[in-house]
Amino acid sequence: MRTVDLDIGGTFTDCFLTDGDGRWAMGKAPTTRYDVSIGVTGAIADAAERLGVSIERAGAELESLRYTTTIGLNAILEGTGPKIGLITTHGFTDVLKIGRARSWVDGRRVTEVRNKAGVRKPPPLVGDRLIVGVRERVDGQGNVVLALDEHHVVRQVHKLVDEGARAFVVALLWSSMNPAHELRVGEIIESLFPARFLGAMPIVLAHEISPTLGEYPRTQSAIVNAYIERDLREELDDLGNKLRDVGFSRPVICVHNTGTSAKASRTAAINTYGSGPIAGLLGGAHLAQMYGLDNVVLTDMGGTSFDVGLLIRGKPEFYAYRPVIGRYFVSLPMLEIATIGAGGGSIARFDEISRHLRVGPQSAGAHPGPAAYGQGGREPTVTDADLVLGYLNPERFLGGRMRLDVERSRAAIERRLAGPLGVSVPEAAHMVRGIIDGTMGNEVFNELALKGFDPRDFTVFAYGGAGPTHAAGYAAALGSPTIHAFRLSPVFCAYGSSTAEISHLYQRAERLALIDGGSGEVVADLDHINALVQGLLEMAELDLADEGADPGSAVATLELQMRYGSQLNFTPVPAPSTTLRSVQDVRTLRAAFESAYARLWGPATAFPQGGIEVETFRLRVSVPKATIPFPETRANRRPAPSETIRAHRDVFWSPQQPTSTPIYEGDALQPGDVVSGPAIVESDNATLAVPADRVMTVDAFGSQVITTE
Amino acid sequence: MPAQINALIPRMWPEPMSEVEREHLRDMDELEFSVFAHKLELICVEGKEVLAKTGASMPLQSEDSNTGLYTATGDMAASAPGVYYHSLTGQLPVKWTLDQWAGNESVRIEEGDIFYSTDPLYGATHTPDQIAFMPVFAHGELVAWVSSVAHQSDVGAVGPGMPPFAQNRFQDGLRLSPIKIGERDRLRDDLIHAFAEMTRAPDELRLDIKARVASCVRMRNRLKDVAETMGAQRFRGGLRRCIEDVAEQAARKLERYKDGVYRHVIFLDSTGVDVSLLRLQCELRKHGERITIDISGCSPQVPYAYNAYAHMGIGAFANPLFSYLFSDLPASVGILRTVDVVPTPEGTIVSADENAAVTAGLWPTFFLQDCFHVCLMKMAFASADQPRIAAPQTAIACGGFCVGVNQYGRAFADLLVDPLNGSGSGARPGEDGVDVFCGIWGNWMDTNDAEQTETRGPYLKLFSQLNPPRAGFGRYRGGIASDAAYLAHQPPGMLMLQQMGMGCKIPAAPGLFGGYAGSIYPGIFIKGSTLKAQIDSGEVEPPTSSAEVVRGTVEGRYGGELQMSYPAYFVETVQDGDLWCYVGAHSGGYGDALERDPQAVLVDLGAGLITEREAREIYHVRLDELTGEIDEPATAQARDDERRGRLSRSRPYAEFVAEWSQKRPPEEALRYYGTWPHPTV
Repeated sequence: MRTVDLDIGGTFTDCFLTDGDGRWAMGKAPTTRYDVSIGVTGAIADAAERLGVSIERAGAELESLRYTTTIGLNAILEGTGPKIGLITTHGFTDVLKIGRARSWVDGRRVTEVRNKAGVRKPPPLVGDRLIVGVRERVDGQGNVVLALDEHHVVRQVHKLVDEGARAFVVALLWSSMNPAHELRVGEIIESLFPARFLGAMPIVLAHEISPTLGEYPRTQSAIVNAYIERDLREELDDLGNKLRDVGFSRPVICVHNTGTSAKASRTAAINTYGSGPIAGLLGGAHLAQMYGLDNVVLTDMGGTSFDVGLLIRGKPEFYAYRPVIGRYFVSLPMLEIATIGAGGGSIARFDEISRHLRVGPQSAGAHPGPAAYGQGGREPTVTDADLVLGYLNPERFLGGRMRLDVERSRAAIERRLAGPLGVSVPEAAHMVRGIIDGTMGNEVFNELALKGFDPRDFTVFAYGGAGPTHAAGYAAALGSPTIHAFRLSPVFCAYGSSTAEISHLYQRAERLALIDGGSGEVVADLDHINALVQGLLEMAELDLADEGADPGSAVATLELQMRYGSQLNFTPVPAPSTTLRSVQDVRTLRAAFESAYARLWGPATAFPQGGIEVETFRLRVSVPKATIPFPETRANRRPAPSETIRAHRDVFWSPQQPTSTPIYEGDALQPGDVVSGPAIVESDNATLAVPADRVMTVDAFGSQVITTE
Repeated sequence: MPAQINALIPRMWPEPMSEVEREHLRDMDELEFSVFAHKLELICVEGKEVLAKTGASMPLQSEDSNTGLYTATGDMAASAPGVYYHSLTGQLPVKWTLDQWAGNESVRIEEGDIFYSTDPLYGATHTPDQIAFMPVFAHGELVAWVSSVAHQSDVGAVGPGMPPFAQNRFQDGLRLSPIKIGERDRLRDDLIHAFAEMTRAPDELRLDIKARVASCVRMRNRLKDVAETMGAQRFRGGLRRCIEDVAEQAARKLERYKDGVYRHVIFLDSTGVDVSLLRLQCELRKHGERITIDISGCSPQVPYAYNAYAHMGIGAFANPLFSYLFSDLPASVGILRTVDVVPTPEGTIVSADENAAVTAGLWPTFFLQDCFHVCLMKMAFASADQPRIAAPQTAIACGGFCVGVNQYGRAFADLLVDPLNGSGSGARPGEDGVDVFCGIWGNWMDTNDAEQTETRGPYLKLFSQLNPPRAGFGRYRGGIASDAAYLAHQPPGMLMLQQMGMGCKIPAAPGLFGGYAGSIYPGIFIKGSTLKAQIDSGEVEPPTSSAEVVRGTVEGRYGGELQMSYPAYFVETVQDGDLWCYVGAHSGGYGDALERDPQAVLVDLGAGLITEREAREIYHVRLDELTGEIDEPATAQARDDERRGRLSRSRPYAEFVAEWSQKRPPEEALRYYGTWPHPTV
């Protein structure tokens, strides 16, 4: 076996396995939180068995083992992080409670929190008594205004230990400009609690996790890192030991939410948060490049949420504007995945005041789940609507692992929706489906439009449990002409992990003028900028050497966060090279900025009179790896697609009356098969709905491609 | 042809439905309309984000702003969640433009036109709240309007920012009646240059105008696409339905509330310049599916800028309506169809004549908003609509404007927003208020980090902490605000500070149903403070609260001359090391303090939010001297004693009124008050 990629999710652990001869297999097993290695080895064994090999042989032949995990999310949701002692600048110990005032909307969509009487801020991850200030001060230029009072530091550290701190976060003002005080506080803590003794505790310096402007998100970044680190470390240690026992001796590589990947020994805990969906984004990029698609919107519709990622020129290009982990605003260059509260479990309700249906964002989740689950759920959900309309096969939900109760769905819709609305059950269910599809389409439109793109230029990649069932609906609302659904959809994020390169991302924040507003002349200090970037390159060389990679084979790209003078917000601009050799290079950079800015906001909004500045330098260093060719599917028979029709089922494509609709066996369709809508394509892990005006074609890779007829 | 103030008022309500709108009102089925309405809201959200991301000045970046969509006749059909009065009052310049310029051959209204306005006489809320608006054409037909409004830090008024001492409208700064500033999506550089050069931070205004226009263009493009896809007339019917449906829903909702008369009165403590009592009052009469608001009886207009035109007050009613009572309905002007406002004679502090200065006029409207808010909450409480109830946010919004030359050598204007955007929220039934929440007039505005603030101007924040409230007590306590101090840090040139606010002697955040009112605050400026040098040399420990700053200065430990101002109003030229403080305002509590869970009192005590004395005398909690835990029997006894004490101190209502009516404030406090006693009270 050459590669094993694992995605440890909340419910299932997914595995994508390749053997180096072009063969691959998917594996799945329930996630076992009490000992994740059981779920992991189960998923590997499942995949290995499909390739006809033993798990021991898979381990013996292993070349790489990558993984993504939800352990960070669990630590935050369940509050299992350690007691953290926060050391900040004297006079700023309420930074978490102040939270720039608007922290109550972090992690929420603004349209979901309109009632000001009902809002809450996220609970701080550090208690009041575990936050101390130390006397020191640095100004915005990095000058020391007040020297660090080291005696004060010692007293404050002891105070935190007395209060029970088991980890330290040091987050001082302006440490991104001058980290000397943070570094010194770290040294003092280490000297008080040396690593060789039992009392040693993790120390997280904020500037090392997030060297960016803004103390609130920088502090939160360091805290979240410290909070999830222990659980992640335990999971990794445990997983590594158990996997070694069954012959998997390669080090674990972690996929990062920045779109990079690295050995666990070079991974900050916070970078693993949300890495599963990011791996999906990387996999999508791989597929987009294979298909030669420039603009793709990836949509992952699950039980409770709808995740949206974008690919431009075949690549994930956007970092989250206001990245949030759980409900904590952080400042990390996380690739952007927008999450919308819409999924199969979204609850539909009749609003007595408006007398309209509303769908979501509340969700029935997995427990009790939709009424059809028969687990006590009484509220009608999107899944219930799909079921009574005939889109879903009650016998084949989750590959037949769960039987759905259509009568419960019908009763819930009748009682809660159809009755109050005075319409039939199919009419009510059809409205639920229409509203959720329209909502998702509008939200995706908004995500694209905000970045200056026309959604009609985008192809939709649909995955997730409910994605293929609804893709035609939300793609229509979006105006996208083409949808791809993949054979690998059930393990899409694990597959995406297999495409990740070994790479690192480095940041440095420093406000520098490039172009003078008055004269329009280049005023950049090229030597200073190049020295700054050189510093990042040297860090990269060290890390790559530690990974066992050849730094000489690495590819480095530089991105600058640029703005017109006095703006607070930045536009990311790729630099032509990592070295600015001449004034002409700066002019090229300026042109790239002006072009990107004009595309985003319109040419009339340019403001050259304000000058052009750069504030953050981001260096990405990657070691290219041989890409695993996406496995083509060979047609081993050529029957007519109609021979794969298993049955006909009544499906309400319109609310008035059902249409007897052919149900195709998805796993039996072959490349080149064409299915005209209306049709349902069912397989163990997905149900694809093909409306009357659409055609589905199976391509050479086994993907199901829906186009307009 | 100056706008007549009173002529503006009826234009806040929807215009008569046009034939096209009536004919196409129900073209869409429920499903299509639901998706359509959602799309409109997202278009507004998109426009608001464009504004924040392209703007230069603090208010744009911190989202003290909003965007709106209007019908072809200027009625608000949709709005982003944000500062609702911006999008609601945005109707007025649109309507005025339609009335005056559509038929004027020298102006006309054509596709790609860009209009701009800042003059409250034509609908703006005050000169800093500047609106860009554009018509939307589909297939050559005018089908809608879009607007983008945001506060501007400096508008070239008689003082920096929004000077309270302006005495007439000609001192309010840049007052632009609706004017076309661009055609075919291109701005007129000569006009923008002229406007910008009338202010103290011209580059900021230039970029901010562009940001407003970028936001409008983005929304216009989206709407045009939608309208041309679905057909102009269906689109117009759909926009109108956004108003009609909301009007019906609001009426249906109101019908469920108990009929009655709900009243509230708030007293102000200054004109912004002079200390004086002023009165704002509101009576809400609810009958069936309508409410009637009567604000007659407020104090006469003052000779300074703390006046509001009548439409500004109606705009302020939008905030509690859209953000509390009707927050479950889409935001459209349809809500106002259930609201009648009794005409108020010209000449009060909230219905000033057209020559009045109004640049600081939002302050009295915030107090009026709180009056109205309390009335609404009484109605909601009487009708058991608990999820919509909260004590009002404080109307105190002490603000500071810095103008001059920043550390990069550029002219700048900065709005220091700690106390504005970071006031606490009112307590709710079942929950304390949210600490450091947002401004009373908006949603999710950002206070900015110290590092962001220090990037804009030549100052250091000395501290930024929660401020122990000493106010807002109750079964649930009001939200706490922040306390911050600024040190001027090596300003390379001129630096001026203008501070303003009300509520320095009388709290401006009423408590609800027995909850205590919010806090008061002073203006604090220390000229020639030596604190910076002393901190630098390690001579003193840096203070972490305004109280410490004041105490240290009074005791002579920090040096410098302390200026405490009531009201918090001053203009100062600032030198390196000068220091000023912003003590943010807390909001009111909810319910009787005797009903607060003693354990919650203990938590407040541990966090330093209350003193032992407050725990003992307000909450009547008793602690075990040995363990520091709650002594439950003693607490129960103390609370019973207090309840009995209240009964023993009570008197028949008539007796109370008879005695109370004999009381009268000193004459100097009544200088601007109007008649005392007021004939209607």
